[in-house]
Amino acid sequence: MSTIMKSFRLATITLLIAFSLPVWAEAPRRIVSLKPSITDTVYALGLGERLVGVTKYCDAPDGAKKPEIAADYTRPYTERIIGLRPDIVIGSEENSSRRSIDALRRAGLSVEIFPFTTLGETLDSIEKISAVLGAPERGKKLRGEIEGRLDALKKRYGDKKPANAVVVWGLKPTILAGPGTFMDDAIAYIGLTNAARGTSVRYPKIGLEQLIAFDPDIIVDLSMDIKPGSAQERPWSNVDSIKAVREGRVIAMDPGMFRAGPRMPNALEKLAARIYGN
Amino acid sequence: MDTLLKTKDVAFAYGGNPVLHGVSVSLRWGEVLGIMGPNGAGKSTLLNVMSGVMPPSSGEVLLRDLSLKDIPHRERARSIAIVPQETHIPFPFTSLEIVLMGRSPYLPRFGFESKEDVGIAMEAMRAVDCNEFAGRDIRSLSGGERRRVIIARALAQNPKALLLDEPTSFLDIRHTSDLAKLMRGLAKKCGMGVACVMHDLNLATSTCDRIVLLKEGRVAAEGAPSEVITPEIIERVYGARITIGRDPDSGRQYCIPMHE
Amino acid sequence: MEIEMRSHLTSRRWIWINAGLLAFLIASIAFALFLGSEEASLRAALSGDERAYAIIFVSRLPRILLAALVGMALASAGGAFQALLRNQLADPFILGVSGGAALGAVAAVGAGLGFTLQSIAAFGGAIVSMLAIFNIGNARRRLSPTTLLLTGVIFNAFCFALILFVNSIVTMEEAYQILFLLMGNIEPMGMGTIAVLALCVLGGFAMLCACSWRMNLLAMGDADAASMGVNVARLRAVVFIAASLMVGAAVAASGLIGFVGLAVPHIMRLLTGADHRLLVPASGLAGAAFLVLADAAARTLLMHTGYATELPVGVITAMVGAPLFMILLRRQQKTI
Repeated sequence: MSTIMKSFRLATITLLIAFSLPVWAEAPRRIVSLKPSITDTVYALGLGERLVGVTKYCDAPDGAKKPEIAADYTRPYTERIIGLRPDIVIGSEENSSRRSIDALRRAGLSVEIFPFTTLGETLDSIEKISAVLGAPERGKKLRGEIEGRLDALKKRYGDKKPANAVVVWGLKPTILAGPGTFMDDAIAYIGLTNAARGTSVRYPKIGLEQLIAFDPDIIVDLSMDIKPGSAQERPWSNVDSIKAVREGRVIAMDPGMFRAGPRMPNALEKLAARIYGN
Repeated sequence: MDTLLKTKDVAFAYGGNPVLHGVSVSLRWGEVLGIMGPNGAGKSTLLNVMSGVMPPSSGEVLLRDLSLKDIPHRERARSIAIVPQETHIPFPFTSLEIVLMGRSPYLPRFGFESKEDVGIAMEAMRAVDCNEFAGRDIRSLSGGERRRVIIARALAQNPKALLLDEPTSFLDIRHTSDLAKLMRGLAKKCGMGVACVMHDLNLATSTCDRIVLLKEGRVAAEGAPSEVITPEIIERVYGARITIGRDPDSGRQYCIPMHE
Repeated sequence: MEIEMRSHLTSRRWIWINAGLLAFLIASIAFALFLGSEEASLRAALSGDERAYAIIFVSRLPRILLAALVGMALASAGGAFQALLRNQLADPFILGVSGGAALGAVAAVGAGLGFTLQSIAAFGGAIVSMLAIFNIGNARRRLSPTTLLLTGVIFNAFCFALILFVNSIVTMEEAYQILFLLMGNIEPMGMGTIAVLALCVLGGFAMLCACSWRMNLLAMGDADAASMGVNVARLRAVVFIAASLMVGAAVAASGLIGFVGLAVPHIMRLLTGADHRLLVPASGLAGAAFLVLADAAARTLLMHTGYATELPVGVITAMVGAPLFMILLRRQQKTI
């Protein structure tokens, strides 16, 4: 074969390798997740078997083996993560402190941060995570599915006159979902407006009198993790002047269902069923 | 019946540490009794036991033939007053307030001091020359001024027995001599029994009717000053040498420590 | 010869000052009732406006009563402990009872118990610590200041170490609750709980006021007090128990609210003198009013700003109390 042919073959092979390298480099096989929403996303993308480390509060879908615990709610266990030799660590701005991220990066790990504060950001992050994991088409598909289900909800419940609701995330002090949060966005799909949207903080800590003044039609009580689960010991328990209490429209649900991420449509469907009774 | 306050064979121990072993001492009406001895002999302890503030581990203290432990606290406080060696007062009380506290054994359960009480307190303060600082914060007074206020407090208690623990330790010579005069006056004119722990041999000689010398928790000598303050006894008890002299004009005995 | 007005306490002064403070307390309660981030008028509340009624009587009134009781407990107990320890720097948390109470509450949080049970556990913790400290400190039957102080400090340190331990093994929500508890907060409670608290606090307060006649003597020293007719061992025990029960109840109801027990008696001492017969009741009343006003501020201050959150009341008590205290102290130092 002539020299030209040899060079051409060499060049082609080189180019093929060069172009496939990014594909190989973009497909991390060992993933550590620092937020339950991210873990949910990775499982929903069908890439759950690549997870080697998750947080204490993450869950795996039924039957799957739960990966090692590598982080607390805000604190990554740096040494353990390094020991797991991940190709990538995925965290969020809200949960992981600057200092711990820097520590992981200094240890030579590749760390990517995505926001999950609003619904819009959550959907964007799902796509970006799937891109970083080398499967961008899966992310697009998942996003499409989620948006589809949300739109269906909106069609079904969106044309009613919206009811005033508050979403309670915490007790002592009472913490509500305020404007600019994913719950604030999400409940709009099932015919609710957030009574706390006028406050200027994303998670206002209020006292009983503010709740009385909001006078919501519906209270979505996501404080179940705070024991006791008993309704009797909620601050609004016997306050009949609050419409939601008077009419018995206080709906307690598992906050884990309402994580920003692929679980949202499921959670919202269940919540809507509880509210509207169908 | 001469004896006002007497201890019968009292012993006292701090924790496991015995300080007094079987001491019997009596204080008579109208006398000034000096309690002396080397450091650590148990003088303050004896005074505290006599006042009823610290109950003895064995033996009895009798106030006019009644055992102290049978007398209720408030009643005892109307009969016996003690001026302790140190008083540290960490609060901004005025001197008058401190002296008025001496009237508390006489106040009704939830009462306030009456005009009479204030009058008695002011008189007590006048007797020790501290009435000028009646309204001043006690913490702003010097050691000697504070000591006089506490003495006034004890006087305001109107006691029958007045016990003082080294009262002259912060006082200058004028106030020391005033205090000595006061003690003799209280004893002779008011009939009080005054017991006083002191170190100064000359002061004791001129002020006291009787002296008790303690050594290592036991009575080493007892009697009139001229009988007790002798070179032999002082050397035996203190291990120090003195020489006795007599002032030719007044006939008063004085002693000088001999050290080379 | 002139005697200064403040030279000693008379019954007239006692009545006037306490009556004045009581009036101030009532005025503070009324003021706090109508101060809030939400619009509510009494007329509306009483003429059938359910929302206004709920805001004033269901949300604010119990909080205000709680603040008054806790403030009274902490301030009067603080004054009593200062006399007991013969130290103006003592605060009601120094003797270790609060550590036990906090530990009780935290343990209840960790065990997943409900809010009422947490308060009961806190009070139980207070009682257990009180008995333990009393027994340890009662060597030679005297509850001496140094022993009490050392025992209390060590006990507190131990309790807080255990609290930190529990804090590190519980869930995040529970850890947040623990923080809330330790910071001290006034929250609306059922009137039944308030009634029980009132029983403890008012009972203890009455006891301390009764003991205040002898507290002056106690503050002189054990020997001095005994020589003036005080049964020292019994008085120390009664004051310790009454004050500890009040502090235990206060911590069980509202966590650890700092500064009230230290600064209020100190400030009152600068204003009304050191005589405990006046200081103890005056501190109690002033402490109640102070905490009522501080809580009103805590719940309204940030509400209309960009933060829209209720502050923990301990922030207000420190931020207001500390400068007030410094001003009074400077003024007093100039006169000595």
